[in-house]
Amino acid sequence: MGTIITMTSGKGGVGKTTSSAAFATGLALRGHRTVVIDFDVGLRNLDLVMGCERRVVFDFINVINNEAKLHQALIKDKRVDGLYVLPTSQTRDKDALTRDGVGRVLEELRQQFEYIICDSPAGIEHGAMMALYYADHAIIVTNPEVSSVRDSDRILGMIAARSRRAELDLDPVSEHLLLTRYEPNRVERGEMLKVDDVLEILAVPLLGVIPESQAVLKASNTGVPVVLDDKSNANLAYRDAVGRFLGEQIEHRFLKPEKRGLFTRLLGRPA
Amino acid sequence: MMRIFDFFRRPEPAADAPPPAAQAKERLQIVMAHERAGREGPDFLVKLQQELLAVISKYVDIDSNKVEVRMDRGQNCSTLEVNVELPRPAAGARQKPAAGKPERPQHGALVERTPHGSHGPQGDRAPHGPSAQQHGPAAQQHGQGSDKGHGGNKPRDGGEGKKAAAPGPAR
Repeated sequence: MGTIITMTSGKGGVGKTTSSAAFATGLALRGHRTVVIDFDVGLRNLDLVMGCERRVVFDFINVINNEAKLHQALIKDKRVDGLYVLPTSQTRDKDALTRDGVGRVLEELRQQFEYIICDSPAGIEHGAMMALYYADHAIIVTNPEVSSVRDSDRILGMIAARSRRAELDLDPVSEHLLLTRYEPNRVERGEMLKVDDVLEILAVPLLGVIPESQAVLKASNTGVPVVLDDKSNANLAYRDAVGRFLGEQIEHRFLKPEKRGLFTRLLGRPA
Repeated sequence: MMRIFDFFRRPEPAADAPPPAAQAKERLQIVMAHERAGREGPDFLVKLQQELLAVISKYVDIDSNKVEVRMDRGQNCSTLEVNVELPRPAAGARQKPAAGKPERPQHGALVERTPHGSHGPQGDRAPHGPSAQQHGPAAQQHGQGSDKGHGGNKPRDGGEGKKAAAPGPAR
């Protein structure tokens, strides 16, 4: 039976889709059959980030409405074995996500996949609630920035009160914090919240810290998830986070500014 | 000498891969041209599939689970590929009338020309594979039931493989 992981944040633009794509790809690279689902009905973008936008035929909503079979809507990644994308509809609205319909499709996916990653839309409205309702795990994507931290707290409250596990009084959803766009240089100068500050406020176990990286823009430009892109720090940090999720003990890195030699300093290469 | 200086420069992107921003622009132009054309409407592919299957079902008993629909959107040309697995007729059973086709699985490919003259530059980039030339400019909706065009209709395969293999600029 597959495990459902919801990537959520409350706030928009913090890196949910980038993280969903990276995490799903990272799990598949380790041999776990994984599907990543776009819950952002009407504003689909996971297909672009995964680089399969030209191959979308049927979508999640078609499957919910019984207009297409699940296997017709799943897009197989051509780079990584055992990785699939379930895109959403660009033309309908969030109301197309019915609780029963979503539950039925997730149940069918659970039979075929080890991990099901739900890429939540921003906000706390219907789409975001449907993305988190069936979650076994929730990864809270947060930037070290006041509005993002506050919104994360709000979504944590929703998970604790309105998820299926909460409603049925089951074991609670496991929560994990993924701190993205972290800039150790600015933290050092006191311009940015520290990891420890965010952890103290949110009190959620830390899954990973992803440093701000130029590789992320390049990844979305080219449609290649950042864990496949190159040896960037963001790639390595995502791979570490996947390892930790799978229960490995991996020390956090990229928390301190990189020591830059005289040469790189003079040449002004980006860290 | 050159090599020593090259060491200090930022690595150039691989010669055959356009820079990331250019790739982003091209991908957006393709996907948005299709979305603006309105052919992505919620019912287009669903209805198309239902009607195609209705027609095929008139002649052959088919299992709706054995239908595969693939799409590849290109800048000048998109391909829609519908694979329908036809069952082997049961021994002694009569086929439906007029089903004169052989019993091996058959592939059909519909090629649609999509004029995107109003969206972005055309022809400044090599087509995404052999399909554009193969089907010729006159093809409106052409080619069905022939295995011949099938293999060449996947321009995406080659393109993606290359992209994945291309080394990114080292950081």
